[in-house]
Amino acid sequence: MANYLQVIILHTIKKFQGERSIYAIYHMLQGKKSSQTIQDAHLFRLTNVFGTIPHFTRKQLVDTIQNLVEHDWITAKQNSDVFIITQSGEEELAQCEPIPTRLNGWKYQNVAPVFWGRLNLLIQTLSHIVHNETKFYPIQRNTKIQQSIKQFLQQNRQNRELMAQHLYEELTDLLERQSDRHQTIFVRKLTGINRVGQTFDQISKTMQLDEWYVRYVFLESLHWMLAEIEKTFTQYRLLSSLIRDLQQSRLTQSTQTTLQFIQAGRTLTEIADIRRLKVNTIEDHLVEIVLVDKQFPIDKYVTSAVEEKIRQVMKKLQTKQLKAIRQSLADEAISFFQIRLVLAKAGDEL
Amino acid sequence: MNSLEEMLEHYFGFTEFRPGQKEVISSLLAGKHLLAMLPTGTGKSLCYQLPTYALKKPTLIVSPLLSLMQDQAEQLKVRGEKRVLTFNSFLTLQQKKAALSQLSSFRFIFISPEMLALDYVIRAIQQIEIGLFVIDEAHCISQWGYDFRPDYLNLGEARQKLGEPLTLALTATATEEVRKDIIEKLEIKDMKQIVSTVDRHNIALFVEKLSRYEEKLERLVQLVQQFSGSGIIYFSSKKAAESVSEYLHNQGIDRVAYYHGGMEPDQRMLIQQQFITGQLRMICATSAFGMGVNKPDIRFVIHFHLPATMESYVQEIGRAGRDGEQSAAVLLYSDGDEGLPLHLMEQQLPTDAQVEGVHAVLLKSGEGMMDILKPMQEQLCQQFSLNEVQFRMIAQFLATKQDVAKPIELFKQYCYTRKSRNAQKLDQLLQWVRGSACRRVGIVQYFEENQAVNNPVCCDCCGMSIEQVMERWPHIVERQQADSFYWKRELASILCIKGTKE
Repeated sequence: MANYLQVIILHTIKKFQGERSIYAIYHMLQGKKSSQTIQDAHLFRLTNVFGTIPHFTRKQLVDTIQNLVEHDWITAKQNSDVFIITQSGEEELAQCEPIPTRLNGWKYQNVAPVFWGRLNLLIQTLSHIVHNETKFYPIQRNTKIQQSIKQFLQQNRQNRELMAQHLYEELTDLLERQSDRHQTIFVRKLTGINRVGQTFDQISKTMQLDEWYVRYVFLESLHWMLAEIEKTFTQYRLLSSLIRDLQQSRLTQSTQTTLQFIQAGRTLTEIADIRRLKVNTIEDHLVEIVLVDKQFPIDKYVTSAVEEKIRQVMKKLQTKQLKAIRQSLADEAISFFQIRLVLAKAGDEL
Repeated sequence: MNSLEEMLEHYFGFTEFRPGQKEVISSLLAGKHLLAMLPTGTGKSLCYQLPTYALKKPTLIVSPLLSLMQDQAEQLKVRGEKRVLTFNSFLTLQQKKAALSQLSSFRFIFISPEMLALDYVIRAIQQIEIGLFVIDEAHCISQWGYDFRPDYLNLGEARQKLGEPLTLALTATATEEVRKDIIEKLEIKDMKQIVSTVDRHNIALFVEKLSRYEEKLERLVQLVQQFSGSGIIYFSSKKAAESVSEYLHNQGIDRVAYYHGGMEPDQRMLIQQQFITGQLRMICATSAFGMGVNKPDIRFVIHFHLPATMESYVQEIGRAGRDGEQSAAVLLYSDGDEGLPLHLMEQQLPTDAQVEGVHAVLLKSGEGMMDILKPMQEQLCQQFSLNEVQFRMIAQFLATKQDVAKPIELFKQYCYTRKSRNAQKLDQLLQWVRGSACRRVGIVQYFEENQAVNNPVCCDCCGMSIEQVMERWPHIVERQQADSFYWKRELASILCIKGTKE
């Protein structure tokens, strides 16, 4: 039986359909903020696992790939860095725990650790206060997290018993709509006055589950809770105020700047000039913008006639490879950039 | 408040000083630079904390390990001291700037040696008046110490730049040679020494010889079942710590976990806290565990592998019995165990070929040393198969020399000398292990103390048995492990919510 890291990588390889090398897997799981990776995440429907292993190492990747090859679950495409899933790989994947459906790395990979850090420390702090204990060792060493909880408690002058009660109600409400496993793993991670939270390894041993699986279930819990809090924030007043400052833009810093220029009516070449960047880079930014906002108008860069042509070729060839699409449109004056824009807009439609 | 005793009670809630503390504090308050050697677990930090309140000026504390620094800072904060700063590479540039601009508002400033090497940091500290300059784990400054840190070599210079403030160098384990070296490197002419014995009278010492690995495992199981209370089991490798922890668990021994430097920081934190609060009874650990772990009631320390030096052995067993109650240290030895520490020590030093290789690359590039060394670390490490420790060693050495072209014979010579020193130190420990003379006398002699040892609960060589030690063991009520786990009940109990139903 495959361990869950193998499952995640097998899943990623399957989704890439032999169109990306193993390094794309590495960047995907690490959550690299490059236009290529961001675009891939959308094209191949991998936004769920995007950035879910921020400390992923090349060695972990290479070892896992080798292991998958040995099991005959994947095979190299013409001795290259590109792998495809085999029939027995497909069968293995079908037997394993499915990929968590509520996982959303693309949206929450940055916010989830901060949310957890704060929630964890807030619970520990409240737990001590309501038990009349003022001295304790904070389970979160990160000074930023410590400061934000300090601030949070200063700004919310509410009676602490009441606050604990509200926190309890909001959390149980969120937990009750999850599976047994999610509930148990989440609460086992918590630290309070008479107990220190368990490590992933300890939980995996007590519950007799694979450690990577435990990590992913926990992550899914966090992502889903974040989504729920965002959706119906009036129902989760305490939790939503804990993360109010985190509802940031999903665009990278540089792309946000480019967006401002575009909205001010500048052309891409002008922006490149002003910002002393290559036009290519500005084009990358635009692709990123379209990925986040599919409604973003692209008719300035691709006429609707050209857009339609590209879509048809995509459908015909059943591929998302730029090269193949461009070759098939060889006699037209169509750039890679235009194809990428259309691909970004089409997103999962293919 | 006049007397030291009054201050002790007011700030720390103790009524009595531990041996050595008062002498150190009085000397400091009399304005004498001081090298103090106090054994692990005898309250070293109080030696600078109390004078800080008396001197009413900020104290600067240099600490070699980030985790140690944070542990000490957290302990101060838990005691109610708010004016504490930890200044290290964890801070963002913005945080650093903010901290430096309000330095004088802090009472305790913990700093890492590499931060103290930066000009802008020194300039900021020069603006305030430092009452006391503390060097924690001062043996790290000595190349002959067992835990040499090249970063520490800058401290003498930094101290001078700060106007030679009143200085306290603290260490738990340093031979006479190392102590001499510390004073030389700090360039303090009139430094007084206060050396108290390394002997910890309430720790009974045992060495047991076993013939095979399997026998060691069996014996370990017996020991941890026999001992009650908390304990640490030390290993030389991460893998062994993990697998033996698992083995113990499979033998039906609960509340045991492993800890090593390869784990993620937040997971390490959980294990450490579980141990301190008593949720866990035992930790299978590498030497990464222990510094800064302030747990008074550790009853036993078992060495499953041989440590590399007598100094590290004494440090590690010193974590037992800080509460003064009877405790025990057991070293399990089988022939050939010395191979592992020997191998580990070899790995800490670069070979001639590695030194020459890196040097050649630098010569070719001919630029400022640190500018290219850092960004090239990954490439250089790969090219010459250097590990991180080796690389830091080379980088530090080459960076302190003004001219790259300078012959590197000196450095090669240093590595060579150090290798033979290490081997010699290990050999000394081995002789102690294999010997049949009193263990306590052996330790005291190693540190060149003329201390008479007379202890009714001494060691295996003096005819003591584990059973006899257990007769003096304090009474310990073992925690019961919770039998069932239901998330809602658990959450309710954490947040003190009453009247919830399952």
